[in-house]
Parts: sequence; structure tokens; C-alpha cells
Amino acid sequence: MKEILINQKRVGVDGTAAALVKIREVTREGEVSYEHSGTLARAVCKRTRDGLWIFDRGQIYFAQKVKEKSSKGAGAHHGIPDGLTEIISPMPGKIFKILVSEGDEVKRGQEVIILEAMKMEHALCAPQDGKILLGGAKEGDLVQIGHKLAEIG
Amino acid sequence: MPSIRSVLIANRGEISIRIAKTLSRLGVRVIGLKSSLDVGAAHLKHMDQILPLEGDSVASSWLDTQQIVNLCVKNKIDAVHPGYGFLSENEDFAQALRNQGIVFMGPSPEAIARMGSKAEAKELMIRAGVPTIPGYQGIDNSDSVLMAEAHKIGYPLLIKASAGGGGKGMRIVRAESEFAKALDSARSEAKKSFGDDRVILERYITHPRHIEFQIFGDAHGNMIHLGERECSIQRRHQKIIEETPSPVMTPELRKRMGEAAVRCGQALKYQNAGTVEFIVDERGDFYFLEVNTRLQVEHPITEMLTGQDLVEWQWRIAQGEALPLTQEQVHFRGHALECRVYAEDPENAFLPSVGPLLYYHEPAAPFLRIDSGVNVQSEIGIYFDPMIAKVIVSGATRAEAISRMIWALENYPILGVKTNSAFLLSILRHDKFAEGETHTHFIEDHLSNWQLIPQPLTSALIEKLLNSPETSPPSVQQAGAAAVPSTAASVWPSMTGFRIGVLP
Repeated sequence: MKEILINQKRVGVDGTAAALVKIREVTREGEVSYEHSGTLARAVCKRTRDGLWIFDRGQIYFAQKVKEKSSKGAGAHHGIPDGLTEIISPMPGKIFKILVSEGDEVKRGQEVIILEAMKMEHALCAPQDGKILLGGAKEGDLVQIGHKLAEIG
Repeated sequence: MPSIRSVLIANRGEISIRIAKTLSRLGVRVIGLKSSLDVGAAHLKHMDQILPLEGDSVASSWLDTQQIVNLCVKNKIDAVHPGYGFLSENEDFAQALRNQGIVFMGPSPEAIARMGSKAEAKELMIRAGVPTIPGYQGIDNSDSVLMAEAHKIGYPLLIKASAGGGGKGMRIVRAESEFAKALDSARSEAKKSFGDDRVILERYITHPRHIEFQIFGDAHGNMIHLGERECSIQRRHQKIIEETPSPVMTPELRKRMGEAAVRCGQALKYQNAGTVEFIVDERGDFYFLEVNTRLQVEHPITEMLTGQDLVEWQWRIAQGEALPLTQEQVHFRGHALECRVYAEDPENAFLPSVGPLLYYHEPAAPFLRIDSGVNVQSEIGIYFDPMIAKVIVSGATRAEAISRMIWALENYPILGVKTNSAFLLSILRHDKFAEGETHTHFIEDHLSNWQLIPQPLTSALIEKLLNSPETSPPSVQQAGAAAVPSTAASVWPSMTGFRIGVLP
């Protein structure tokens, strides 16, 4: 069974269902006309660097291919995937507080940076134990989504 | 009688665009504002003139009363429309404009100030003979007094600890025979939790409906209502679906509630647009909640139902004209429904979803109106409310309006941010919604475990599109394909231990 990621969750694609879906046309704008069990329907999709956005009858999904990576260990702790070493800004915002100093030893799950966005404070945590290397952004700086704020060495 | 030929709209987003459309149609010059946070904002191109706002935060720009008043004086602007939120219910702003001889398109500063205090509002309503939620908050907490007051209030009722909240010391009492025992239990819990066993009593409303009435007053002593709006579908106290008429409204109840709303307005000598909010219980008894001294977000459903343009009414009344219609001339036709589409991620506690819109297309139909604050070039940011649009439909019947709304949301493609559309559709399709069993705990009761789960056919479609060469990045497609912005949601998987609302 084929597997993909839909909204960051693994979803198996059923072969029977797949046989019932036929894509008829995709325009340059991403407008899709398709058939499911003989009924015509429309959807829209847009590709980005990391995946594909899809709108289908009021539902919005972001899909990605599953990247095979071994995930041993207690990845469930703090909901942090294993093997991650970077802290990346999840949304545009302002660095409100940096709770550690360059080179400090931090523990997995420890709060290290507070980002201010949408009138709220968001605590970003160290993904692993180790020494923190700050990315150079300072308190008060505005950062974009995806900006690398720190790394664990 | 002041003639208003120019208006500064002290607001942004969908409401400023909506206001600009009516005023432009009436030949009024509309002036908009732009702060450093409004680069590329959708409202700018709907204005005849844009004035810059200084300040690098919302508070120092959009909420800077002095700056905005000065801009009006300097540019010789006749009037200000404050929209909703922002400075719309700020009596100092209304007063400062009045001091400069600039018309505030809303009620008087006095009316705003009086309704700003819940206690004073309640006081005024009691004197005006408008029902308020029966309760007892007296100092005398003796058994006999509490029992007698409980009897007056009626059942079911709530015993609440006066010293604290959080449900501690709270008991629902459904019949008089249970009162004494519940009182003992509530008191002992209150004593243990707050060291104080005093209680207050309040009628308990099991399935409250939020029903509000639109009122309009003019400078000639006229006051009418334009019907009700039921706004019971709320998520965390935020309205997301509104409709009119209310599924439980009868001509008789509308007459009584409408008259109560008008009495509220008269007690305030209210001018221009206002809304009187009530809570209605299962028995059809209604109680005053508060007065909103501004044009409300959900006003379009009243416009659809009555065929009137409320911003036009506001302009006429602000110029000193009499109300365009008498109460007898107001007619209601069909049913109207509004859904608020927000850029929120339903899979992430409905937190705002930010990013550039990668695709945006509004459907069109004779029964459909979309009041949008974005366009295809917009980017949903962090500084303002993430409302994308209000989707409003009308229908001959409630069932027709619901099915038209479902069609509209299914055919309103938006990509680049997550929205609450799928969540709205689940509500619209729910049996209890179809039956009109709407109340303020609806979402809690019926959708607390709601999740966006793709159906097998949808997953199959997604997999095919994901792996199809036709949807590959532009460099792989034919020459001339439009470049697609690439920032999107890649960071979400690496959000490490993200938590909300942490205080410094």
C-alpha cells in the first residue's frame, strides 16, 4: 500500500479507492478536473518546495512524500522527531527572549527561545541534549517563517 | 445638518472594504489609512486616498487616537467611520472627533461610555423594564433568604461561590427539593477552596441561544429594530456562524424582543447603528446581555434579510436625516446565513495559519455575497486578526440557505494557509444544525472531537497529484509556467516542543 504524508500524518492509500480516481486535466494554474466513480469533480493544487497544497471541496491538505528515515528512540517525548538538531522559526514573529547563552549545555525539551507572534508567546525547545549554537538573531529581531534560530552541536 | 462628502475609514481588512464600497456608491470620497504593517494590504486599492499612519505596532498606529484625529483635521475630512474593533467603541476617540467638529459615524460618546460598563448597562435595562438574568447577589446569605430568593428566581438555577470561580463551589439545582442539600455542598466546597462559603444565585440556562437585535436611532427621536440575528455557533466564545431569522423565533417573540431592544435604545437616546444582545432559554424567555455600540461583523445577514444597506443608513443618520423606514415598513424575506472563514489550522488548536496565499478564487452566484479582506496577492501575517472573508448566502428557506452555503464553501478554493472551512462544513452538515438545535455549547457538545480526516478517495486523489509530473515544480513543467512561492509549511514538522501562551 502506498503511503504519503497528509498534514504531517502518514496516510495509506487504498488500491481500490485509487482505481476509482482518474485525473482528467491539470491546468498550469493547478486547477484539477477529475472523476471519482464516474462523477466529475474539481480541485486545486499548488506545488511548493516542500510539498503539495490541495483544496478539495472545502478541505485543505498539505501533502508530502514519505522520506524513509530510521526513527529509533523515544521520539514521542515532547513530540520531537529523532535526529533533529535545529530550531527553526515556525511562523513569522519577533524574538522575545533568548533563555540561554551561546555554548550552554541544554537538555532535550528545554525551552531555549521565546518567539512572539500573533499576540502570543511561543516557547521553542531544544530538540536534543547538547551544546546550543545560536543562529545570530538577537532579542527584538523580526524573523521569517523557516529562519534557523539555533542548532544543537 | 452636516453634509458628509468625505469619510476617513479608521479600519482595515474586510470591513473597511465593505464600508468603502457603499460610500463610494453614494459619491462620498473615501480615505484609508496605511501603517508600516499594511504593506500590500488588500484595502488600499479601494480608497480614493491613503494617509500614512506612523508607528510600528498596532497600538501605536491604528489605536493612536490623537494621530488619527489630527489626520482628519489636517486633511479637512468631514467624518470618520470606525468599523468594528479598533477604536469603534472608544468614547475618547468619539469625543475627540466631536471636539474638532468631525462627525463620528456611530452613537454619541456618552452612549458608548455608558454601555462600556456591564454593571451600568444592566442597571439601565432594569429601569427600562428589559428582563435581565434573574439572580441574587445580596450580602445576606442566611438559609431562609437564599431559599426565598431561589424560589423567586425559579429552577433550574446555579449556586456559585462569590469568592471564586473555576467551577468550585458551583452546583446546578434542578428542583426546589434539592436546594438545601446543594447549598450545603456548594458552601463546604467554597469554604475549602476559597476560605469563604458565601454564594450567589443565578438562573441556569441549559441551552442558551445568543440572539441579538439590530437597532437604529436618529436625531429626531425615532428608534426601530431590523430583526434578529442568532449567533449561537461559537468556538471559544468567538462567533463563527450567524443566521436570521432565528430557528426559534415566532412573530410574537420577535415583537416582544424587538420592543425590548427598542426600549434599550430609547433609554440611551441612542443614535445610529447598535445591537442589543440577549440570551434566550429553552422556554423562550429572554434576558439582556449587553449593547454593542458599533456596526457588527455579522450585519450582512440583516442586509440580506431586509434588503437595506446599513452603512448607507449610518451615513444618512450621521448627516441628521430621519430613519429611511418606519417599523411597519421593515420587511423580512427568506433566510440568510453567514460563515466566517478564518486562516486557522484546525489540526493545530485553530491557531492562526500564516503565509502567502498561493491560490484564491471566490465563487459567484445571485444568492451569494463574499465580504473579503484578502485578494490573490495577500499574505496572512501575524499582526492582525486572521479573517479571510465572511461568506453570506440567502435562501427562500433555511434548508435552502444551508445547502447554498455548503456549495459556496466547497467551491471557494484557498491555498497557502489552512482555514476553518472543513470545520464549518461539518457544522452545516450536522443533523442538529439542520434541525435548528443551535445553542452556545453546540460545538462543545457535538464537535469537540472533530478532526480533518481525508476520505479514501481524497487520499487517493492526493497521492496521484503528489506523484504526477503535471504538478511538478515549475522548472520541470513547460516554459512560461508561473513561479510558485516556496516558503509554505515545511517548518511545521520541525517545530520542536512548540507551546502556546507561555508568560515570561
